Amino acid sequence: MIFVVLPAFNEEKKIGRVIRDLFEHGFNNIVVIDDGSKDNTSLVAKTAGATVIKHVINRGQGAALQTGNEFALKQGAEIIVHFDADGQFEAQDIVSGLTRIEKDQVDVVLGSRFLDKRSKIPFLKKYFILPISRLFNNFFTGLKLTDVHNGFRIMRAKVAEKIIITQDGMAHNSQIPRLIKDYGFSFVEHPVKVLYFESGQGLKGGIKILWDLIIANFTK
Amino acid sequence: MLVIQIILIFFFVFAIFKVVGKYISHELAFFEALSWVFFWLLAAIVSFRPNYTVNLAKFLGVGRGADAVIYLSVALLFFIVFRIFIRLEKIEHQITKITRQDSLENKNKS
Repeated sequence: MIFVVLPAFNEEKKIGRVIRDLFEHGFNNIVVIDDGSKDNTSLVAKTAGATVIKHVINRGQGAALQTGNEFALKQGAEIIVHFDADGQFEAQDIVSGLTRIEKDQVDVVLGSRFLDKRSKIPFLKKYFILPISRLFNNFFTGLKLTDVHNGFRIMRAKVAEKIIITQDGMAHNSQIPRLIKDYGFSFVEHPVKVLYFESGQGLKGGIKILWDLIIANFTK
Repeated sequence: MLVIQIILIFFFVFAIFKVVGKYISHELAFFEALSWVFFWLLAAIVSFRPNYTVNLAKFLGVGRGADAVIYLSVALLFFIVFRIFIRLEKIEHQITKITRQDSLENKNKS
């Protein structure tokens, strides 16, 4: 059983379309974690046919993904997909990602914008921000990944059982690969298309992520 | 004795009474209460006899007693702030845990 987990915060305008697209590609177990949205994300997601779990207050994308993982595992998920709720990813990439996880017999598939040319990455991001972020991220995670903080993941249930996401905020994007390495899970990077309509993490966001990762060392 | 010394000593004695009160009402653990009493007692002694800091300054290799107190205080303050950050982080984790439990239980009931 494949579960697609969508962490969502104030995505009432886009989530309906994302869910319908997932259904059209044959994914029937769609779980939306409404992370304390102030809009009608839950209602739109429910109407579109997804299972909705609502955080009463906003806790962060990492926290929402962990809630989604726990729910999916309880429902008997064999494979869990992490997918953005804002329409930046394409459902077709899940289809090819699932083929990849079986073909390569790996535990995890991690999405990357840099393995094909489908993503039109903004210039500054492509040649300055992402390369520098990748350097820090690869140093922290111990993995040599071509992309950094890509929210597209496909993992087997045993991975979700072992990897407990404790970074509630965006630092979970570094924590997950780090845990993949620590637990020795096999992985492969897979080309995914990312549509750009927002700028993503700015400098302030990047500093917050670094701070969260440092503080985490003292709260184990 | 200077006016500032009298004011400070009164404040530190008041602080010690508050700490003891919080320990009696179980708001502070024994070791924590003892640490704070020790701290405020030290502060009161330094206020009463500021020239004690001269010996401290000589030992540390710092020019003036007041400077030695400031340097140590700043270091201690940074340490306390760091501990508060760690404590806040733990509280955030606990809030997330409760939020998650609540959301999954509500899902089970619906």
